[in-house]
Amino acid sequence: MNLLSLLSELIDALDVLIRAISDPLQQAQLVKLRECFEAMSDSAVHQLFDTTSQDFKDATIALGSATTAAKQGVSDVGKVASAINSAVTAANAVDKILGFLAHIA
Amino acid sequence: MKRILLGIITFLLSGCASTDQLSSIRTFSTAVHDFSASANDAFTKLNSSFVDRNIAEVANGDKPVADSTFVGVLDDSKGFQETTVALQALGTYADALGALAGANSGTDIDKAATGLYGALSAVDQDAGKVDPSAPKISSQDLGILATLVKAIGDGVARDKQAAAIRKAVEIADPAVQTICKGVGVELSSVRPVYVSNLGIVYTSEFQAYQREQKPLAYAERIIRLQDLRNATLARRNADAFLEKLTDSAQSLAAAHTKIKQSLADSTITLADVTRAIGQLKSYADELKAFNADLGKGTP
Repeated sequence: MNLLSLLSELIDALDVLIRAISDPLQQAQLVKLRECFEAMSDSAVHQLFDTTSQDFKDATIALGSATTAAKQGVSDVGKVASAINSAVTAANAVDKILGFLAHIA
Repeated sequence: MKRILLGIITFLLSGCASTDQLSSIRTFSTAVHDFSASANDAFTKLNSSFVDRNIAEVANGDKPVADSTFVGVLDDSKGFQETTVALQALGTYADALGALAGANSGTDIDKAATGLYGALSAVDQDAGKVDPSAPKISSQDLGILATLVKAIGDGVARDKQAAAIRKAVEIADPAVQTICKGVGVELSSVRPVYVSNLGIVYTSEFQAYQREQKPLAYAERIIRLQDLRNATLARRNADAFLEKLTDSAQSLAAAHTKIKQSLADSTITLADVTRAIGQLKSYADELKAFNADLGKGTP
């Protein structure tokens, strides 16, 4: 699966989680993370990646794990914190190939 | 006498086959025209979904407003722009082909041929942008086509008209295949992003409703909930629409190949061509209906 699809899947999963929970702090954290992935996705539209690099493989694995964690958070409120942590890990992994966070810092 | 009769029957039969082929090409032309319009419309909606998403997030208080709020991400995408232009060229080519197939006088032929030369040059250039390794249309081929067009004459000999179309379809085919493939690749890559954008619009509206519902009267809540429902429908329809559009691009490429084969090889039956074009036409009709629904459901 390509990076754009994986990013979109995670954004969709975060969206469902944002709607499913009621804790405003967790909602705000998830909205910020979703914005970060949106910006990464917008940037990825214009780029070609070396899909054979280890960083790329790590990013795709982290995105998949974060999507799974977000889906688990929907059915189990106790797992929302873990979903947020997974999303942060994924954001850092994707940033390694996009250089996005360094660029906007 | 028998030989003369046989000759007349053969002439009539070959005349009929050419007329049927020309009729297929006119149907193909209409279907491609509709497909090209639907696809262009979809690309415009797709680009505007980024702005819809930004506006929804700003309105929800998730993001501050900025100049970039109103900029579609695909405005800067070279691949997106080239695919859009190539799609338009494809539509123009199909229109010109249809005009040549429907021409009934020498003046019609001249007019249609001028359009066709321009369209062939455009599809050739645009296919080269979508895929630089795509084969180019040679000036020799264009020269042969011009000779064949001239041979049609003022009386519009149907077999010569079919011969000119055969050459046009043959030389355009590699470019048509390249453009269709490029459209499919571009659509597949941006399809999940489009759906996500509409999902974010839905979530923003959803959160706003949760915040603001308490003081609302029943009737106002119903209106807001209907808006939310429309946002979910827009998302679902958009996904199905883009899937259909990708299938249509493949179907168009297949129909063009079938026409090329049928014009060059008598072993391909008209039924095969009709089936291939019918598939494309059915997709094009569905896309038209989808586009109308997307217009209603877009938040």
